[in-house]
Amino acid sequence: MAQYIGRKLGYLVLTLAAVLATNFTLFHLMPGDPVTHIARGQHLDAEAVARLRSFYGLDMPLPSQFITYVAHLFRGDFGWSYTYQTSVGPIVAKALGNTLILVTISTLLVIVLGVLIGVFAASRRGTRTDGGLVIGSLVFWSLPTFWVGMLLIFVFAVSLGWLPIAGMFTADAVYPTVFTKIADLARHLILPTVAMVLVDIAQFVLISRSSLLAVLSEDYMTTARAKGLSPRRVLWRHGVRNALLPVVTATSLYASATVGGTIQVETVFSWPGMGQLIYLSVVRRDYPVMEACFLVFAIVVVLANFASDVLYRLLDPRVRLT
Amino acid sequence: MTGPMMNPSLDAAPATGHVAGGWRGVLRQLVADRMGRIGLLMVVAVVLVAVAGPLLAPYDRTAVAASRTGILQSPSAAHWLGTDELGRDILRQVLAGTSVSLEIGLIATLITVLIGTAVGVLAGWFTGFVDAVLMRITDFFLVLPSLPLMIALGAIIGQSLTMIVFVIALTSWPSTARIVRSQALAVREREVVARARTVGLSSAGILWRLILPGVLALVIANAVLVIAGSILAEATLSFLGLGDPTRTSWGQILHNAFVTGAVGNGYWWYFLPPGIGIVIVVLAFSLVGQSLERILDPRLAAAA
Amino acid sequence: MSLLRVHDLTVAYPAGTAMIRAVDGVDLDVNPGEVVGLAGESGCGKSTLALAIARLLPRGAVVSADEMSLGGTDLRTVADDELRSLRWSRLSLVFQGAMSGFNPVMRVGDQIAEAIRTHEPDAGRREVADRVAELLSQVGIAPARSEDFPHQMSGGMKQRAMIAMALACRPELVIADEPTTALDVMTQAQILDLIRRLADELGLAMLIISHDLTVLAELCDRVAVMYAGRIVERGEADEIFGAAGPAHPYTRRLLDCYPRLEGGQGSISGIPGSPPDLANPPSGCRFHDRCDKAVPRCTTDDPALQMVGSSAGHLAACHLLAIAEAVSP
Repeated sequence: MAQYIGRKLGYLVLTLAAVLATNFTLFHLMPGDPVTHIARGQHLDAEAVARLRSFYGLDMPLPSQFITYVAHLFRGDFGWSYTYQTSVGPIVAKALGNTLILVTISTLLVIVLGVLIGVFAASRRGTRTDGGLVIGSLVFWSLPTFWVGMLLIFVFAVSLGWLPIAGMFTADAVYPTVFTKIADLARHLILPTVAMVLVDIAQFVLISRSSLLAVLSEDYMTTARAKGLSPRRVLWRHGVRNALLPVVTATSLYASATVGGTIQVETVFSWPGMGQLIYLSVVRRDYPVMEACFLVFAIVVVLANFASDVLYRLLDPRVRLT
Repeated sequence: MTGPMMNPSLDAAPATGHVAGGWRGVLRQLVADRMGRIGLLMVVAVVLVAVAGPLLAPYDRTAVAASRTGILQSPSAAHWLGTDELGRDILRQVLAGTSVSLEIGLIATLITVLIGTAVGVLAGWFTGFVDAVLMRITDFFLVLPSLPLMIALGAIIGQSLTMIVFVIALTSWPSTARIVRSQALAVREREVVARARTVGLSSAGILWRLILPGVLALVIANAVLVIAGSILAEATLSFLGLGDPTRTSWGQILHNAFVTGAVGNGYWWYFLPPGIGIVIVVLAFSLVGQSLERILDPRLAAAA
Repeated sequence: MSLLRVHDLTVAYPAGTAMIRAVDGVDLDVNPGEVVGLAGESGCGKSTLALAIARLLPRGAVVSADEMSLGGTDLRTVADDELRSLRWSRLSLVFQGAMSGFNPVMRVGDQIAEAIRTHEPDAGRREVADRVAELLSQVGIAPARSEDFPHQMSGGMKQRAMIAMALACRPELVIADEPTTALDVMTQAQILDLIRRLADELGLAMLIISHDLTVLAELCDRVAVMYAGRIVERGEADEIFGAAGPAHPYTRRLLDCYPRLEGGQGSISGIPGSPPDLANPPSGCRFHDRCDKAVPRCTTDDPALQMVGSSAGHLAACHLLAIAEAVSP
């Protein structure tokens, strides 16, 4: 097992290096040097141009450029943003924190609810409820996330006025206590979370349902019942416990999909996270910010894949002990 | 042994594999399946609208309002779906968007399938080093989150529908390649291939006459699902502002709606119809694709 | 006084508008300490019968019987919680352990312990662990192997572990469904020895189901043969496998499928044709279309079980018996 993790770690490092190289290629080697790109969109004085050139190291040969770039990254220097007039690092860090709030809650909901609904559908196999859930999942998968967000805002915020239209907090709000601040945050979280959950949950429902259905027909399920175990124990300890394995594999695909969902939802709801940041950086052609966002997204997904691989190994003894 | 071998047992394996009756049999099973039937009907309806749609709405797509009163009108007898911020008829735009979205989805899928199949077949056939290298590359692309990659490329390359097609294909080919590779590996193990080798058929010959037809069925089922995904991807990219402002795709309409504040101001006729259009088209292809997959995938069929 | 009494058991599945009778009016008895065998081809309904007795059939199966009782308990009407409590503690099953009878993500020892703890919730950890170790060594598995996961054991070892698990709560009756199928011949012999030894030592009542008559010949006191959902022959093993041989043509053909060391058998033969469609059973005797001794009466009249010769314990459902009776002096 330790050997396996060691191997996977090595592979992880290689992948991260490849991500860095890809990032470098994309943003530094594209037609026209990056300074030109940026200068095109902004009005830059000589000092700004000089700072840019030094960050990108454009007068050096390519390999040195790459090394300079990586060195900068390790020092925490992600460049200078012209729209925010400050260095990129702190901007990204703050946005990342905001995104994590949204993503953590919605991911928990997606996995837990998705599996529960999938298990429910499998236990009602063949009935109209099950058929309805499957069709429903397909329909939900076909909904564009950003459009779902727009609909939610229109119905619940604009027409009904129950919830805020956008943002993470009410503008210019004063909070007498921490609790009122958290309450305001919670109110702003509801719609974006619903938007993120609605589309992604379908995937988990379908996977856990088909996985459990396959497990239910196995002999060891009959053995468990024959032993006189309670139906609950049979379903969860023997059924779901085995059905979860493909679901864990699915979470690695989910990580990449979540990134896409985050970008769309944050854009529509003006949630000040990484998703909105990368969107705005495109609108304003702020390449250093775009580059940093891409890097963070890629690293997070690579790490999530790694974690999901290791988790699977831990859960499946057939794989763990060979 | 010289000359081409006319051994009938080496005739290209039926592309539809185990399904009786070839492609017509597949179609029959597709229609028999409730999900497939509904999906197929929806696809046909969508194609009809794409082709004949623009004829339904009498307005020129680019005609703008003469005065301020013509903008952002809610639906009326004159404009069934109202007008946008420039006074253009929305129904006309939505109908025109059908063909644009379909077009992009189909072209992107074509490229995706070509690349994915080529990589998958080569990896599955040659195995060993070639397979390892190709799969490492494929896995790497799979790990890169697709939307940020598409956004980055879009911003760098510039806005155009060609860019969108290229960028969608670039992020979609890996999953197709994986599917094709495992099927190619399975076909490779079949007796027919071993016999072909002993008879002296060249690698290229086997690839063309046995492996490709063997994976074709799965490729087609997968392609239909890729169409659905591509249409969704294009809508998302155009919505985020990376589309071509001069071509009316549904995503582009939604982008215009969003930046005009249609949501906050409640202009539901502006953003509801294009979204519904997307859902219908994507759902249509998803239904057909899922149904086809169930019919054509030998592993799923064996389990049924 | 029988331990297991089954009288006129029928198991039917709805299929469209028809009902398929997988088990059609079967009588079966097992006495305490007795080993009874149930034989037949795949699909004849023997596994369904076993599952029906244990009330383990999936939803949708319609089970009816004049009587189905274990000891004093009426299995047809017993309440769910009482059913769960009698499961394993009075009636346990042995499935094909070599296949997926064990949960792959749980240690074998834990699965056995689970059975014990369900029925003896007050038992201490130490006590349960000791019982598991004892059960495993009883079937010839080193107690340390209780930490293993199923995939770490060989097919034969898994089957023995299944047997150990079935004995965990000291049941009155053990039903074994194809205990030696999917095992190689050497392992089969070992398992058969084990079962016979355990049955003798523990005085177990067993119902052994197999398509392999030679397995039943070795283990059983009495044997019943099933075909197309019905019992076509039953009796003492000595009589059925003895010099005179089976009375029913199907049992004869079944026996001919397996090689024997003695008896001057010419060749091994299969039985042509295939079992009838249970949605539309043939008229008359259900075996008549595959029987080489059929007479015209077989196509019209369904034979009932009747005595073979003068022994009250040996019954067969075949018209030829009546004819033989009429002919013999």
